[in-house]
Amino acid sequence: MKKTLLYTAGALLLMSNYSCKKYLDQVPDDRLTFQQLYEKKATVDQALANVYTTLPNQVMERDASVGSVNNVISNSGPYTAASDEADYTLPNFTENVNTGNWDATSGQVNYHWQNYYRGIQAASTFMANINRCTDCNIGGLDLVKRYYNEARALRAIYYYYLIRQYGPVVLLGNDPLQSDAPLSEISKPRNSMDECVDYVVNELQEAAALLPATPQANEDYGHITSSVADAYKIRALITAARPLFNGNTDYVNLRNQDGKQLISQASSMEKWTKAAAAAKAFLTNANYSSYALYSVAATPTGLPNTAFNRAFIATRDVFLNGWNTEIIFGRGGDVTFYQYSLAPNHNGASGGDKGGSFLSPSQQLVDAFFTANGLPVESDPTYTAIGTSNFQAPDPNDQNVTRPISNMYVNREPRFYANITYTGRKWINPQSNIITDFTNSGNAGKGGIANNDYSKTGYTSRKHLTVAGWTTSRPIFTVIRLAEIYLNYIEALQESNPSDPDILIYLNRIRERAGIAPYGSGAGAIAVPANMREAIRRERRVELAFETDRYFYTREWKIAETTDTQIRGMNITQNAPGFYTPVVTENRVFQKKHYLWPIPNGEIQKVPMLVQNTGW
Amino acid sequence: MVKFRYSDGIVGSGGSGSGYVSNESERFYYLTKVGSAGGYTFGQNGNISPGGLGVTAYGVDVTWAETRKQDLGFELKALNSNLSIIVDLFKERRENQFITRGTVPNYGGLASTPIGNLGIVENKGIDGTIQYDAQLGKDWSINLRANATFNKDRVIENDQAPQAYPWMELRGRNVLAGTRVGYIAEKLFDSQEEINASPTQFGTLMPGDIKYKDLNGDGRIDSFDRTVIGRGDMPSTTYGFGFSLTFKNFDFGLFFQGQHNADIFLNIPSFANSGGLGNMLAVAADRWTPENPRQDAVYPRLSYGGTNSNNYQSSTWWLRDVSFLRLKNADLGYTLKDGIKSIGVKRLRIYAMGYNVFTLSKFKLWDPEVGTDNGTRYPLTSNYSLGLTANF
Repeated sequence: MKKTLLYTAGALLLMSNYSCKKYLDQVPDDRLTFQQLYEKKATVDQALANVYTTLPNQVMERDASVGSVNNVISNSGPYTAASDEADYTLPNFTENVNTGNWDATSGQVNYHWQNYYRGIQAASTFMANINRCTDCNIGGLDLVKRYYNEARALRAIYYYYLIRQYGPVVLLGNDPLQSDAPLSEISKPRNSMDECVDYVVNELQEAAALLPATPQANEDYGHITSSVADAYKIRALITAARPLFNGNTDYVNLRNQDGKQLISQASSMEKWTKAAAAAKAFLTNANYSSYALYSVAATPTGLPNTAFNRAFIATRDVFLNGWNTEIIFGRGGDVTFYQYSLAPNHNGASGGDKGGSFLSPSQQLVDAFFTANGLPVESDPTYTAIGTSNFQAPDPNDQNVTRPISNMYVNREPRFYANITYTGRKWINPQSNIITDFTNSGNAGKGGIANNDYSKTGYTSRKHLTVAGWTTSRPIFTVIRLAEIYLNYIEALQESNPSDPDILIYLNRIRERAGIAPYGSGAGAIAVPANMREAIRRERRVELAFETDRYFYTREWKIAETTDTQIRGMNITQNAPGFYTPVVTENRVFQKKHYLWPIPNGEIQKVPMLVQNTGW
Repeated sequence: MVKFRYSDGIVGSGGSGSGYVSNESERFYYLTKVGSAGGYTFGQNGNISPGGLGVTAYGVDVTWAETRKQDLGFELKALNSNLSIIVDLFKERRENQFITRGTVPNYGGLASTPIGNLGIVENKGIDGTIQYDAQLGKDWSINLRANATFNKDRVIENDQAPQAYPWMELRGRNVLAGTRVGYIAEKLFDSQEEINASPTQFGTLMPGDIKYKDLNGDGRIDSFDRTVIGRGDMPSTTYGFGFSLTFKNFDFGLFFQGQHNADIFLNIPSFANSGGLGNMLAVAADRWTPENPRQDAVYPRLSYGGTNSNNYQSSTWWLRDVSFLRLKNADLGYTLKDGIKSIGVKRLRIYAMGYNVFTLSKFKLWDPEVGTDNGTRYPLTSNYSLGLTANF
């Protein structure tokens, strides 16, 4: 009874307080508030990291359906294995793309759309609040300004990633969206592609003007600098100049409800000129003079110091040797998740020598590499795909023996050996004695593997793979490097001013670093190809293989209808010699509508003024 | 005696659906919350990794949900109180229900979908009980009783964008219909020719795979062909009825119980991926095979590896009606009203009783009343007892 009385009294007391508004307006004092988040550098750094997190992470691409690992979203995209350079054995979203089994309601279609727009909102929110930081000015270094411009550049970069995937999108402007805004206020039609590109380019330009040129201190590495912003600007301009978005009459009916044309119907040479000018400005910018194609002066122990071998080491180690002179942008973090896909599933091996074999390069890519003479395999009379020869690839610690190798892999260019693991190749780890064998009963053959851990094509990639094996990580994964700027430059020049001598100069720099003969008339040079556009295309394909370039290249050049019909590879269910007869390992579905991803269906239902891409 | 009752009132409730505040995150809806979010790695050696911080929920101006409850009752007692009838008509309408906004486009980039007082659900029904006692002559007496509840719940507003096709709309459906969205399974494919002539589905198809209905007729099975295919595991109707009969010293009673209009999705992989604990051994072999291409098998064709996504789609193939009628109680007794004086027993009853005696249901895999989708729950037991009751 006494207790009941006490409770009643307590309840009455509570009720008497009920009218006091202060009492109800309590704020939990044990948590960081939105106000506090931007007041101190320590938490501002964390908020900035969250703006960066949306950058697509190629390391995670093996499982493009993974939402997040360790609280980091992958946002990787199916690009490598949905291009003609490779296929993943592991079924993931690339399988849906390759078989045409996807549409506007597919989860991944919304996943990337939503992720990039979340990144855009996070950046806008950061920009609107960063000036409240009280300790972000360290000894005259104004981090408020720097961080603001990093977020501004990132926001433009996320728009760039959106438009090359979905085409013209909705531009939201400078201010963050109010979370309680009514639908009528948020509803917006799509902007035109030209408006989107102009916005991205202008934003990147303005951000670049207020950012340091290149990383100076240890902690600057991985942040957006003006060189990174400029590199993305060149990317955006070249995307805009290529035929998909530059006078593409396939999209004549892609118009907003008010009739506004979203993709230009008349091709404009000026777009190429702009791209070329932006690339030239990068290459002649004195602040960026520290960038140079990566090269080595000597080979490692166990590998004779020849030009060919140095080229092999350079084209391999440009990805492995941290922030070397060629790296413009890279991403920190563990890379072993990616490397696992690259290491063959060597029977009897362990640790870093035994991986998942998932990422399977196509025969088309294998055949695209030049011969050691710097010629395409089709036009080099010394090349034959038939039979075997005694041969030794430039692998350290394996120089004393030759062994019979399929002629497809004999006397190819150094980049071939830096990119492809094939049957009969010494495994990358100099401490191991493994010779990889993808034939059916070989040590990495399908015959001995019950699950998906085999290569679908009889090859694995070894670009981006640490030589100690897949379990060993390294500081960064390369995102943008100087060779791409060169290739963008010569592509834009070739389209806008094909007689410009810079085309050969920069193309030959890439070829010479790769250890193959330059085009021209000097000593050791080979004839300039009659079809330069094709030569530049092929150079790009092998130089930038496995750097998520090819997927967008074939689409933006509108050649995917021809290039993306099938994947070929070795006949993995056979032993030699049947193994070496290429077979179709996957038939692919590519229709005109697949040049762009669909706008997520849910978005169109919510905002009917958003028009769907043609064909979806 | 006849009695009418009517009650009507409005109650408020907080929390997302259940009517009370169940966790901390729901206590501060009005605050924008900041928490750990995706981070990034910087530094020349990749060793500077600030964990990300970002908005995890947006502050919103919300109030509590309001539920109006109405009840109209009718009570009748007649025939010297031997007949009693109670009927209640009830209606509950909850407005301002806390739900996440369904109309915010994802290009708004919000880190989480804000909630709002946006939902409206309605539930109405009827509940009745009838009881009748009668003395039929000198030796016979009887008691009859029955009860039934029927209710119909309906989502009036859920703040979803208009759906592309009317069959995808959840407004106007019952609340749990959202858990029963899937494809309509027409049959199992008989031949490759039939597959080639049918709309495209999921992955590479073979005879023995489930064929789905192409609702919008566009030649492909995709999420536009999903519709509400069931009601959920809450029955719309529950009922019971029974009697007790006394004849001289004998007494006999039966009571039945049942439910109607409820369904479950089977989740019974015949060969589980790991360990095999989920196997449904009783029917594991009951599948379509080329030798025995049965359309009424429990399982479609057996496939190897994880690549057959076709047969794993939610569909009517796996939907089962769990309506049932069961004999809940049966008892038969004999009473010696005078007892056995010689040993001091004043009154003695001998009886036999059964509990959960039998169940009539189309669903045979396990007890339909056990709420499980794979049978891994302890079933209701049947009890039979023989007894003596002695009064001294």
